[in-house]
Amino acid sequence: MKSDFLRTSVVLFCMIAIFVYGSLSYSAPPEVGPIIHFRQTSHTFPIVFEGTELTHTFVVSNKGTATLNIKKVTHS
Amino acid sequence: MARYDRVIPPGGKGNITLSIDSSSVRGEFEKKAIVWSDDLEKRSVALYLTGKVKPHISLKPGGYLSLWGVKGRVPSEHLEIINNHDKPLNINCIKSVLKDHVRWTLKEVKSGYVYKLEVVDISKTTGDYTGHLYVRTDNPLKPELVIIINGHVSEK
Repeated sequence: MKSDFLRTSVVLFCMIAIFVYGSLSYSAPPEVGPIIHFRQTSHTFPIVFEGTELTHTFVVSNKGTATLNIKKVTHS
Repeated sequence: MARYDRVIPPGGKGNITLSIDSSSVRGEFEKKAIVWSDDLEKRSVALYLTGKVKPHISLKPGGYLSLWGVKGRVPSEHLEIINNHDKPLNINCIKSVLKDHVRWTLKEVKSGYVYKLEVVDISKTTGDYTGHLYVRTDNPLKPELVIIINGHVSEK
């Protein structure tokens, strides 16, 4: 009876220890490197006549911890 | 065409400016640009530009007239010249090197905005011909319209 109680206590203690250790040792991986972000990725122009130059500027953000390098912009 | 900031510090912002020359675009369009960066999770991002480009002057059904038929009985053809601006359009003159083959008349359907151009074959001989009608307008952005004429006159 006494040994059963002891065994149950040890198992319970181990389970709590594992849970606490697991909780304390886990943390989100740190953000490494640049992170590109656009608030807007599309734009619609109003109707224009032929020959009008159409220009739009997109804002790009870097939400990372390192410098973001834009290598190139290609279009089709 | 694209202009862009090449280096963006952590927490910073930059601009990517895209331009389209609408001279080479007609009607509705969608242009796509791809931004390539050193973000390892997202190496490329697609940006889209959409819109609609209107011609200054429209030709309906198109800028091409075909005059095919038997000599002396070739059906006439016509097209509409439609001014898409608010300001009225005047047609100053129409010229062509096909004077031996065609005769044209211009009628105002809606003064300053819609014209009907009718072209008839007046060929005295059979055979094929191709040429242009040059319609001169007072719109400085579209001073000339070119209409292609294609004729085929047979004996019977």
